[in-house]
Amino acid sequence: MSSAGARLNVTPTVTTLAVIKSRLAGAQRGHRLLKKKADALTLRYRGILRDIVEAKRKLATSMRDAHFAWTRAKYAGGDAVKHAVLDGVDRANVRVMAHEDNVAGVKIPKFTCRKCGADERRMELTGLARGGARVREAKASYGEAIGLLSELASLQTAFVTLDEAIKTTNRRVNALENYVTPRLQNTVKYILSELDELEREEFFRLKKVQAKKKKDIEETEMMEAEEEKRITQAVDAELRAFGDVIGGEGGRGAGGNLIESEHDEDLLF
Amino acid sequence: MFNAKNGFSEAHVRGCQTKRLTKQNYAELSRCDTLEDIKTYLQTMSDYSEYVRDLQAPVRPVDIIECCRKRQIAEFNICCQQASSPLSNFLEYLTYGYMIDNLVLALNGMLRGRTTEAILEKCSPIGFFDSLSAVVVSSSVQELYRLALVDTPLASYFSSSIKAEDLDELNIELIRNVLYKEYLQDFMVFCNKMDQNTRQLMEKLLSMEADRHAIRITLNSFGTELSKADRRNLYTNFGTMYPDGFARLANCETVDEVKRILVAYPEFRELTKSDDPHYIDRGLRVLELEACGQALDEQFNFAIFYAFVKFQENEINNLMWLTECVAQRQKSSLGEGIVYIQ
Amino acid sequence: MPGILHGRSIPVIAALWTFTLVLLVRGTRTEGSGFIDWARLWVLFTRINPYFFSAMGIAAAVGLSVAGAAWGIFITGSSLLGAAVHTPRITSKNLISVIFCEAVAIYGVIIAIILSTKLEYVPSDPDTGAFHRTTMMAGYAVFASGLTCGLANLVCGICVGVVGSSCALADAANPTLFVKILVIEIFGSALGLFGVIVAIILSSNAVFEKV
Repeated sequence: MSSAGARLNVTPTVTTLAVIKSRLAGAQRGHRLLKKKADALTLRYRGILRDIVEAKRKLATSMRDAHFAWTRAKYAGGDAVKHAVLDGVDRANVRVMAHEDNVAGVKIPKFTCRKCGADERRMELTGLARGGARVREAKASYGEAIGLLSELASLQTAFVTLDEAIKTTNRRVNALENYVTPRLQNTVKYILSELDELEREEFFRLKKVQAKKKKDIEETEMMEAEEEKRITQAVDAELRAFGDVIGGEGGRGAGGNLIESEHDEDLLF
Repeated sequence: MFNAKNGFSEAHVRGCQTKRLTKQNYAELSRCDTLEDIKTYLQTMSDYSEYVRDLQAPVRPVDIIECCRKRQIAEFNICCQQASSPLSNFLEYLTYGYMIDNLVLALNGMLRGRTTEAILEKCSPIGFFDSLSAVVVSSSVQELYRLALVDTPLASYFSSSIKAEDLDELNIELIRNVLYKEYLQDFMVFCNKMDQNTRQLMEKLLSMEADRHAIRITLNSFGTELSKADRRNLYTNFGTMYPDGFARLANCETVDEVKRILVAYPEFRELTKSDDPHYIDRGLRVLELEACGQALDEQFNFAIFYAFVKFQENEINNLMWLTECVAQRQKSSLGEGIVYIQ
Repeated sequence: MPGILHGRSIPVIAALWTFTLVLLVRGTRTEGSGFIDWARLWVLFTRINPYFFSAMGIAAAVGLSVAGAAWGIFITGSSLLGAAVHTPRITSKNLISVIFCEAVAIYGVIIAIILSTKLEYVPSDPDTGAFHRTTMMAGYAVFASGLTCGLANLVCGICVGVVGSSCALADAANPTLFVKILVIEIFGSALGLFGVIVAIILSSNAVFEKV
């Protein structure tokens, strides 16, 4: 049986998932249909089996009766009748026709006997003085036996054909049930789990990114604050120094303002 | 007077007759379960020992019957070899029946295009005649007559009765029965020239045979396209039931009608008691054997040879039935086929 | 044997018989002018030599007896041989039938010997050439006794032969029948003995003596 983990070798994407899902649905519908077919065939099979047993039993008695009727004819007519009958045959009086029968999509050959009517009255004077009636009786009972024989033949052939068909169907049902469907199901499961995994990873990464961003923002804010503090202090110092030395060093004070503005926009986004 | 020429043959025939299978033999044979048992029984307990001895292990009914035929032919041939003029003629008449069978067989084979050898193989050696092989190559009635039959005793029967132009199955069966009818009539004429005893006995036996022939034809022609006139044509011109019985038989349509006719004749009354249509056939066989048994009670006549041949036929038939019944495991029907007179 | 009496010969025999009767009646009624001249016939019978009759009698006795015996043995023998092909045991037993037939011939021979011892020379009358009445009577007696014995034994031989052949066949079919049929055969062979007895009595009166 298919191992629990067996699955198709596919890339777990959403598209594949859709394909596999449709395949799974197909397999399940096929399985249901095949199951029905197998049931129908088995039903027919059982019926044929019963018919075969009955036909065989009937044929056994019928053949025996026919042989015995022939013995009676020989007894009543002696050797002459035997030779006359054997010599009197040149072509078949009974033809077997084959045609097809359809059971749940399985073609079953069917045989039927047909008498060539033209020859019906041919041998009827055989053994006129000796055992003619017996010969006719034997002929009739052999005719009956041939009918049964062809019936049995078509039953037997149907039996064999159906047997084959049932085996194939069952194999298919089993394959669908125990191999194809679980595999597809496993694949679906796998793809789903794989997709979930991906989603989770993304989520996590997003979260991570978000966290980093927060941290960065905080850091920047902290640095800005420090810088501001430092600048403020420097400005304060400058201002104090400036207060000491008025005039000569005004240019530097302007340069200090430019650096301050450069620190302003340090954003990642 | 009779014995001077025929005493030996007669005694020989009677000797053979005492070696026929008896009621007890049949009873014991009926108890056999396989064909091997039958073979062993025949080998140890009957006169067939030298014929069945060489049969190979899987014994078929056909083999046993073949052995019986061999014995029949051997016995008959001894009679023929010992016979001188009137008896030999009589024995020849006995073979004509087989000759007719052979002729019909050959005609059938000819129609089907069988080879000469295949046909001759099936022919009974008792009724073999030299020109039989010529039958096979002939194509029309005239040719058949000219090539094959003109030298045989059947020629006179043939020319006087057969006018059909073409040969097909129906005609062949008719030919067989017409020939047989002519043969019986000729045999009757021949027997009328014999001595008193033979004539009386043979008249009885042949009348019986003629009646049997007519009744069987009537019974077997129901449901066939044989017309009543044709049927009437196949009846002989003598017999216990001749002429009015035959005339009425010719118009019969059912078994019951035949029975109604048969009731009028004391010797056949027994036959009408059963409802089974085949009972009549079997009953006729029994009657014939009884008549033959009576013929065997008399001495110094030719009828015993006729009776002897009939007994041989009957025994072969019995054994055929017996072996087939055993081979097909139908022992419950054994009784209906075995006919014997003690 | 029974063939003589079959259907078609009966009218013929009847016609012959009637014709003969008419002849006889007409012959006796009209003396001399009938169809048969009885007086002449009488002369004929009185003039024939008695020794001729005696010799004929002896010949008939032995000849017909032997013919009967031979016939019987033939009938028995052929059946016996045929039957013996299948049942050889009957040959020795059924020799009795053959011996019975043989006995018939022996009867004939015995009578022939008895009759021939009776013959003695008696001269005829020198004048008329006729024999004495007693001599004539003796001649006829010997003839009659020989004929009696011969015919009786002929028929007896056939009878024993037929029964003997049946005996052989019956014995071959069923050994218990042998004795029963043998009894019948003995009765059959007794018939010949009757003929022999009558022949002896007849011939005892016949004396050829000189007068």
